[in-house]
Amino acid sequence: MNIFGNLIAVLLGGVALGAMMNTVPDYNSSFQPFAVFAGKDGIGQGRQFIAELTALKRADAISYTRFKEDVSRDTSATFLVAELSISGRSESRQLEAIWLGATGRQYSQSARLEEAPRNLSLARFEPGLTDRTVAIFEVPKDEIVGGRLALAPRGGMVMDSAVHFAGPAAMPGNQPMLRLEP
Amino acid sequence: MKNLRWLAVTAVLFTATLCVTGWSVLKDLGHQREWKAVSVSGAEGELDGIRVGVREARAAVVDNKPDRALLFVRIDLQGLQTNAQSWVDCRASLRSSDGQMWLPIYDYSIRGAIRILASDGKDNGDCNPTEVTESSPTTFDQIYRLPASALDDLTLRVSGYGTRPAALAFPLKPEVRRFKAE
Repeated sequence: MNIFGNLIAVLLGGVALGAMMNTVPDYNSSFQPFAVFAGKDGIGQGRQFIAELTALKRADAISYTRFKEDVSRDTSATFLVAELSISGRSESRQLEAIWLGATGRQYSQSARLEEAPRNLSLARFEPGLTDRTVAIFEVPKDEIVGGRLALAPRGGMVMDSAVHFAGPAAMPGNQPMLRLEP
Repeated sequence: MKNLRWLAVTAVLFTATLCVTGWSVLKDLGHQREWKAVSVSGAEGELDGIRVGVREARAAVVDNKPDRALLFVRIDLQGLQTNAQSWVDCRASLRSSDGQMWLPIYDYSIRGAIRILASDGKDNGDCNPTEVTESSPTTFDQIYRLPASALDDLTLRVSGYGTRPAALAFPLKPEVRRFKAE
């Protein structure tokens, strides 16, 4: 009986160890911010910022003026432009945006458009001030419907919150050329 | 009795592990936070052998965006090189009474405003302890973007990585200049 009891204890220990090993968070999931979902009004409140998704636009090409010269960029995929209105809460912070595609792929903002006016990549948000900004992604068309936008503080995101906005229910109308103004 | 002894050893080792890891994490956090901010009544204070003086504070409000302001702050630092090196870096942040924190803007397109607001029309660059000397005060200029309503109740905190959590806290009463948009 004693041997049987010990065997059960060892087996239970092995099962418990296996369960712990399979459920322990990996490095990536440990360092993910907490997900906060925006309401139906399109407004989401993170720990350090409040953001409103005001529009999602799709375009084949984007143009803007930089140092008095017209710049235009096109893409073999499609440009997805998220227009946002963001207020800082407790301290000055820069944010980063990721498009979580319908297939599960994650898209960072397009580095080719970092210098576009009001681009989120270069913006910093101050407590008590609300500023308009745009996050621009280059994505395949089938990643838009069913995808979602995630906004999080840049840098240390441990124990912080990321605001998630639901993507469009229908494909946004396409513009051959989208002009971005300051 | 033997089991109790093992439990006691486990509890002691667990507590020791918590203390060792917790202490280093707390020290790291202390280098980021300013828990021991010392209020300075005048325009000068001393922190870890470096004398810090606040020389100018001037805000600009443009009439087409009266809710926000650019605030220029000029400080100077003086002390031994070894003391300046122990600061490692220099952080000059603005605080409101309800804990909001504004950090300086490093964008060169906005730094032009320093030349407009400074009494001598010069921009002496961001606060940098490596430039501090014992012989004479070294001047630094910072610019901030914040709500105009916050200008009435501001504190300037100056600290370095090596001094934190200690910091100097200066009450700030900026002169406000109003500009017309072109």
